[in-house]
Amino acid sequence: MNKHFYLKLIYSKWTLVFTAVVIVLNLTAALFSGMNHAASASVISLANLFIVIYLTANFMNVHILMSYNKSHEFFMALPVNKKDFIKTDYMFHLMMTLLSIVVIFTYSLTNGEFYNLFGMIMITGVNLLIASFYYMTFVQDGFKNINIKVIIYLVPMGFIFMFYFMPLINLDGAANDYSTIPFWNFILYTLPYIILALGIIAYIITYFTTQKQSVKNDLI
Amino acid sequence: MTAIQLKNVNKTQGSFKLQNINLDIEKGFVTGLIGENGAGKSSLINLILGMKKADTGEISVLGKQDIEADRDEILNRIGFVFSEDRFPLNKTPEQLMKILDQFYRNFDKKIFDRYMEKFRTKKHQKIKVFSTGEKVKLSLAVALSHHAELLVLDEATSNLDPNFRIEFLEILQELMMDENMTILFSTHITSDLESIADYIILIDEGNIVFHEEKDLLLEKYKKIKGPVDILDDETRSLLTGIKESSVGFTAISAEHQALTELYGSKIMTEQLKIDELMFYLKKERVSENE
Repeated sequence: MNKHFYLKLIYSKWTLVFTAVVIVLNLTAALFSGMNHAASASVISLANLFIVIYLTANFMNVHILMSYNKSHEFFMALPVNKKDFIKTDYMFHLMMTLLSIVVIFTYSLTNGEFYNLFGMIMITGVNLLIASFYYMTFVQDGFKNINIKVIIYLVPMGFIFMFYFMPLINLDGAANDYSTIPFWNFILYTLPYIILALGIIAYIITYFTTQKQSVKNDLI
Repeated sequence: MTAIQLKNVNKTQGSFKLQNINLDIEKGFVTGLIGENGAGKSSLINLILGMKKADTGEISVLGKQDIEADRDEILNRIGFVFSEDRFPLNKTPEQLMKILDQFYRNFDKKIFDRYMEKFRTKKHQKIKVFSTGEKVKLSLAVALSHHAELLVLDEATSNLDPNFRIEFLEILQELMMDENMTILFSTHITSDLESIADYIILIDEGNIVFHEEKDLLLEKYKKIKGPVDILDDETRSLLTGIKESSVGFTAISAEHQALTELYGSKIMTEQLKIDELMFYLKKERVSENE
């Protein structure tokens, strides 16, 4: 398992470096919250947004990077069991998901706006669901059409960002009143927990089923 | 001792099928795998490396029956060279070496460095700036640097300059001094096999046409040339892949002695080359199907 983990680390090197930078930036901004840092706030927000995208999409990104020049055929011919390959991918994804939680949490500290945490729960839940679905397809057809599979991430994550995270931000900052929308409270404050619970269940189930399935199919 | 064994293996990939493949590749020998483009050579190699999963049948590699469960163990003992460059182009050989060191239990950095020097390949340059030949050399250095017992070479010599090809064949001959070393060598350049192969496998349209000892094979079949007027039904039945022209016919035959007795100096018998054998057998198969 360690060897494939090492390969994933190599391909995630810059994501990890920038994650560390953003976390330090967030903590610094939180520490000096008394100072006027309005000018840098938008830069920090943007940096956080990008790094959360990179962390949550890392599992696909690494596969895409590995498939340039069809080099996945080279990597897949190296000694590693298919089950270990999948197991390591899940572990690495979990690590990146935890890092995304740390990033969002430290970002919340910068402005004291803890509504972000509901967004964090929602994103984590959706991310686990996406990863579960992605790995179900990955063990079926390996690296085939890997670039097209980005849709599996983009569509649900984009939807959540546009129709959950953005209203959540606007709710806090503006005088928008969403209370007239049916079930809004449920959507805003309860749904994230349900999605997270579903995500965890799907993730655990597919962790085992994909390992079994991986040995039944082609790798390339 | 068998290094690779395939029993009743079938694999369908789109419209292409590997059909009922039965093979016993002997340990300690060089086996040449020949066939046209798309005949199934790479598909067969992918099955042996566990990159593809057979639909039915059993594959055993280096004594391991379960290629899925023992993939890590098996691939640690195999060195491979692909027909096309499949390297991560943004890495340098130095970075690649670190990755390989993680993956292979017996990866030997000294051997890798030695081959890199021997092949005059730059260690600190990104692979994307390498020429095709340099990439093949790097691939060979990778394959030879972890004390593999089985080398699987898929068109390894196709992109090499003639000088390095000879050097490479000499390296293989040196490796074969170790009686535990086995080489499966798929190639278009059949002259390479004439100098080093012990066994030849011909694959055509997903079927194994033959798997025989090279010397016996070249002894068994001879190239026959003669006038067209001797081609009656009986003679034709003794010939394979007959090619007729206004000046006569050429064909191969496993019954060349009988033909010489029948026609004496009317026919000419010549030593056959592997590519000619492949050509005439293919011609025969095509005419049979017509």
